[in-house]
Amino acid sequence: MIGPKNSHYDVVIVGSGIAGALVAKRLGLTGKRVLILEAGASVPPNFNDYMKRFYSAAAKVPEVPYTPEIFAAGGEFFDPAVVNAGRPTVLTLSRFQNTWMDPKKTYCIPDPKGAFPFASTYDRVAGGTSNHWLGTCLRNVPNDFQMRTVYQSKSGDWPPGLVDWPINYEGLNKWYGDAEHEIGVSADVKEQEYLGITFPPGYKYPMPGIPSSKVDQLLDRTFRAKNTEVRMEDDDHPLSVKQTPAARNSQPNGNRRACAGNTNCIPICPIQAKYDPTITLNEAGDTGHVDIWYRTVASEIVVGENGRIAAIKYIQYREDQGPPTDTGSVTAKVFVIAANAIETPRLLLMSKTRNGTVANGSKMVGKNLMDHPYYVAWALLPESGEQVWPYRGPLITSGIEVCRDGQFRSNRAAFRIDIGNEGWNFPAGDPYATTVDFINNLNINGPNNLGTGRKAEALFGDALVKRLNSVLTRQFRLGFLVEQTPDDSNCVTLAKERDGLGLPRPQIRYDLSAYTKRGFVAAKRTADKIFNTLNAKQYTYLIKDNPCTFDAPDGSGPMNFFGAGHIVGTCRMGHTKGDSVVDSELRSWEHPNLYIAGSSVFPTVATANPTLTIAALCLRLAERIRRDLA
Amino acid sequence: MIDSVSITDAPDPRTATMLELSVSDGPNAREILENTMKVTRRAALSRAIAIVGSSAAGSLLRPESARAADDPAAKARMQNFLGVSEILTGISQIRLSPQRDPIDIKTTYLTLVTNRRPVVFERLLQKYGESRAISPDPKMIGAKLLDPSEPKVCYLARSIMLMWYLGVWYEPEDLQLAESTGSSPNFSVISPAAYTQAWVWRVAQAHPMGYSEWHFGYWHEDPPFKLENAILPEGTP
Amino acid sequence: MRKIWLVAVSILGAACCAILPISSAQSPPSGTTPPVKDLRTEVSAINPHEPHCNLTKQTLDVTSAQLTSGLPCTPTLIAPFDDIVNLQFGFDFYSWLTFIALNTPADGQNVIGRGPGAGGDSITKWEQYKQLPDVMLLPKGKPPAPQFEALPGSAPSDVAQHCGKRIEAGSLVIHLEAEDTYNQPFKSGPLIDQNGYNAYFVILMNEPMFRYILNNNLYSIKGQEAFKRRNEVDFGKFDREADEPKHAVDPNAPGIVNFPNGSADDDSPKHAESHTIGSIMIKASWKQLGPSDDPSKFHTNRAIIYTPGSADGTRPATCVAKTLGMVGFHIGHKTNGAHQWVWSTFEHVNNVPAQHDVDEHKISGQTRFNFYNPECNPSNCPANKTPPRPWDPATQPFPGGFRSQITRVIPITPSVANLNSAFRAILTNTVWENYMLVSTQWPSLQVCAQKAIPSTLPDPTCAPAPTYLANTTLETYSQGNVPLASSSCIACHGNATTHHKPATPSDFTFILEKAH
Repeated sequence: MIGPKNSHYDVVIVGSGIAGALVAKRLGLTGKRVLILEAGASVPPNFNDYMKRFYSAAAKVPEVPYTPEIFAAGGEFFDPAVVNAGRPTVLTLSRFQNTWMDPKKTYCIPDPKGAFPFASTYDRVAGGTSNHWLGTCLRNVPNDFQMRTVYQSKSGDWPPGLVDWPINYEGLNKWYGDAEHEIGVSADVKEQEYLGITFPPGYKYPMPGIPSSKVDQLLDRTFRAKNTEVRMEDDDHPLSVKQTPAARNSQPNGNRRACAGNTNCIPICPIQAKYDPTITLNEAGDTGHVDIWYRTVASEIVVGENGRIAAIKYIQYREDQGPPTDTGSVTAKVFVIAANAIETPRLLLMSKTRNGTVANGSKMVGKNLMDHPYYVAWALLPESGEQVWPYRGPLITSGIEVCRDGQFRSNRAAFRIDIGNEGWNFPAGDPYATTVDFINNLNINGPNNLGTGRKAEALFGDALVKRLNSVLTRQFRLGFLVEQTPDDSNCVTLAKERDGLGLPRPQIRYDLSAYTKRGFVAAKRTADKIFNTLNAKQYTYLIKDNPCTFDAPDGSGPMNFFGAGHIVGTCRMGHTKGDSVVDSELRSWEHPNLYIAGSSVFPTVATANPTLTIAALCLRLAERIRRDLA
Repeated sequence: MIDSVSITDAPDPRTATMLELSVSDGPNAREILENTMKVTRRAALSRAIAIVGSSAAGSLLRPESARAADDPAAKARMQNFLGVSEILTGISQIRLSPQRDPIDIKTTYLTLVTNRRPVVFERLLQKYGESRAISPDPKMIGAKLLDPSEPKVCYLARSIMLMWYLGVWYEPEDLQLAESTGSSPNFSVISPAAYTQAWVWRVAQAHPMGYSEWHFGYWHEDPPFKLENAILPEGTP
Repeated sequence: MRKIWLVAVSILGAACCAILPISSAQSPPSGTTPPVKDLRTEVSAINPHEPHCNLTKQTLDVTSAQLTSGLPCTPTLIAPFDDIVNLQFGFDFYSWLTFIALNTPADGQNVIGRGPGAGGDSITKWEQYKQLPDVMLLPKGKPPAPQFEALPGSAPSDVAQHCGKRIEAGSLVIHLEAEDTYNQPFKSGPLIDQNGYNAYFVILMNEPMFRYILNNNLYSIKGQEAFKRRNEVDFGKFDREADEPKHAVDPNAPGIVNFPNGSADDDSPKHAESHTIGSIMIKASWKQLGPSDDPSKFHTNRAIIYTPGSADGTRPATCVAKTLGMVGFHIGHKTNGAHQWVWSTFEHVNNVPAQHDVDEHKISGQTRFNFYNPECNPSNCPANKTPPRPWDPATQPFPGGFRSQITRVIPITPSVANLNSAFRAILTNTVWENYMLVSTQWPSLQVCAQKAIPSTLPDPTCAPAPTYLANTTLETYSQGNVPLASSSCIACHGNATTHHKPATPSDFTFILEKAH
């Protein structure tokens, strides 16, 4: 809905992702006049277009159902220079033809001083990136908030960026509960009390936990039976399987269906059993006090008197690659930037003040970009053994959480483990790739080696059916979300390349620290150990043209990492204005009516998937703003 | 737009569904393929896409099903196509082509193959007839169709198998090139309906990712159907 | 007395009526639920023998005899049975017979279109069915009144207290506190007519369906949990996993929701006793009739629009009578040959134009539609878009002058159009000539559809034909042909579950998830 120019609101929010949507809804419910500026397209009346794009796509990557389109009709990438509200795609993460560095293909420009491209992507559309999220809703463990206090003293080589948060677990406990009820999380409290996570007495999640999958059950039985064998080398905790709390209906809830196991959470749940922020956007709209202007790109934050933000300028467009259709500015009492941890610093850096850029007295805007670099290992259970029937159920129903905390954090990054229910789909393109192997007489994936001399065979008919069934029903994979350290040289700046509206695109300098890489090594060893315990044969291979490759510090060879989709850290919160962008209430040190919402404010990436913490912080922020405006 | 190989078709009055498929066979297809990223074995990162642009040449393709009922030659042709498909895929004809078939993916596939490789497909059907005359043993017939000494037929046969299994189209020449270089061939999705009718998922006793017709909690149990229930005639629905 | 027609043996399997769950001796939790009965002796009470199943075979040669041939217990199909076009015609014919039988006057006069109202209108048989809120939305999960007939003032609900005297026999009650009376499924959107008023939606069930819910205590969450506890499938916890594979679920096991079937196979005496109507659920959409609407062109109902009072008592409940005109009509009928149910849908003939007619500029500016303005420019009135927010039925007409601009995306087939002409011809000069069939969706895999729970097959929806089906007044915003995203009765209803923990399949109805 396009409103009149130069309108005045109580609150203007940039970004309609989960952060902006939650803040808007809460404030709308109290009668405050709220405007959301969203760079991308509006909430569609149904999923027809999204699902059609998904079904028709050859590469079903997380961003594929959503607009703007990534490919032209002929199959080549659209040049991001002509796209008005472009966004990155994992499909450019390839060394082939130097695609990852080619500004005609890649929206975010990799800084040549960095070692790698940033591996995670986001969406610019109603509901933002959590349209394509998995749905995992974990709380951080208490030590995540106080890494320096707990672990620095025993460390020989403490990463300087690994700081304490200015808030702790207890400060967020009630907000976590609020977020779990607001979004609709399925879990059982009994399963979630570990590593210091506690709940208020009598607390219940809104829906019971999602049932486990056959893969989960196998790992769980095995760990219980063999718990002395399955331990990490530097940690005494035996591994155990835990239900993953998820914003996924385990019952009819919110007038949406219960999960039907479409195994498609990323990139989209066809029946919206998985929560996505368009639900909150719709609820915000129904308060009658929230307007949303789509295809409206915030282009500059304007500072007025006394350091207060006076207005936000915007550019509007109608066609994804068409000309701008309008410009204007909006004023408000309070401004919230909720545009993800790459677009938020981009906007701040585009907005000049007398002696620098907006909210950047600390010079930390854009710095400390983090992800959970993701290590993936995959294996096949023995043919004589049981089948686990992957490609069924939600993508992930359980994980291994015990490895998220322990004394080893003095030395190396912690991680948590996803147990994948989708076989080798994520790392190895199955079931397509293995099917092609067996039909086309190749063995790129590994299992087609029962021909003479362990060579490939070209199968057909009954033999093909049986072999495919045997292989596909025994596949599984593990994913390790490694805690990346904050590093102020990992940063978002403005590139010289522009987008379709003439605004400078993000430039990203990115690397992994030694602490993080040591976490990767531990992850690999843990994967190897788990596979051995199951008598599973590992088929993990290196993807050679993946630019996200580094040499393992233990000399064991090159390793790939993937992005977990967790974009974090570029406007960190802190204790003082010299070392942070916002205070513990997410307010800018420089501008009393400017707040930042979303994972940009995380001082560390911690060990949980970030969305629940984002939601908790946003509900707390909404309450803060409400008091501000009272 | 990420496009698919498709066939423009009038709404099928028999089933009141729109088989929405648009043909793509532009003259620049080869060139475009070469200009796109090579498909490599990848995780979520560096996969290339073979996208074939669409053209409006819907009239090239005539839905065969509307004529099959009346036209014995068309019916026989479909029968032969199903016979070939059964032998190659290992999935019974009655599963590939149920007695009542609202989605009718077999017609989509037959039309596609006939239009993309009319000459080689004729040769394949001929070879099928000849082999069957010698022996009805499916293993022997299959081996003959997949005999690499006649590569055009062999790789078209593989394209047909992959069409049934994955709902996507691989050009036979791409399969041949990929085999000789040990790489991954390009492909394009035929249609959303084809994706949902792909057989590999049923062979895995699962469902296409993004298309489950099952109910909450099913994944907690073993699959309720055995492999044989999915691919053999016994207990045909 | 109606004749019993001789028919060829239906292909739809043996005349095996549904075996209802057998209760255990376990008693339900104390307090709100009555004791569970042993249902073996109560089969006939829930789904009684029907001596007069309509067994008329499909034909385009429709005569006024069809106006009184009665309610089909199942579709009667004729050869060839592997010809999907022929079978579709059979189901569409069955849909029309069902429509006529259900819309027959409820009281006395037996012929549709010869009622006391304008155009022979009358309260219909289905308007005497049980409305969903009277079964599932009673406060604190109270049991519904056991009488099936909706006697004014006797229903144990707040509505009776506040509005009792104003509810005429056959009046529908629009419960505005229940969002699905004005917002389409999954909150996909309200439908705003050309006068700016909301369309209203009501759900009802016939007596066998009602009795099944009542007798099995499925009207409340507690009752559903007690029902489920008798189910052998237990999602359990990690440490109690059995190592051997679970069995396929037994549809006759206690705790599996399995609504009673219609059946009418062989006409011979030994099978006739097993003829039953089975479960029928109805969803109807209504337009508020305004000054420019001609009531003689609609089936009307003098409905009560009920808004409950505020919780703190400051705002009293209101009951406002309004004349509504029917614009859409869904029938779901469970039969022993279609355990995934048969889904028929009808619309008022003037609802919307077909999208392809709009594209080809075939719609004259003079035509009046209920939900489309032919004179509005497509750039000002893009088709099939939801209204702007907020969606608040308390404010009508819709603020800002918004009107829904709706088109039919999937065209009506020529076969159905011919059948519509034939049936509308025998309904001439009645309100009922203003209605038409859109299509009928049915599970096409025969053996699959005869199984209560086709656990051994990959496709438990049994290949619905046609693959997609939408009513432009009830699934307005999800028309299309994209798998799972676009409206398909069976595919969507296949996801329906109960409201207990954990959720289990509820036999293709969303009615059970409404329980408190």
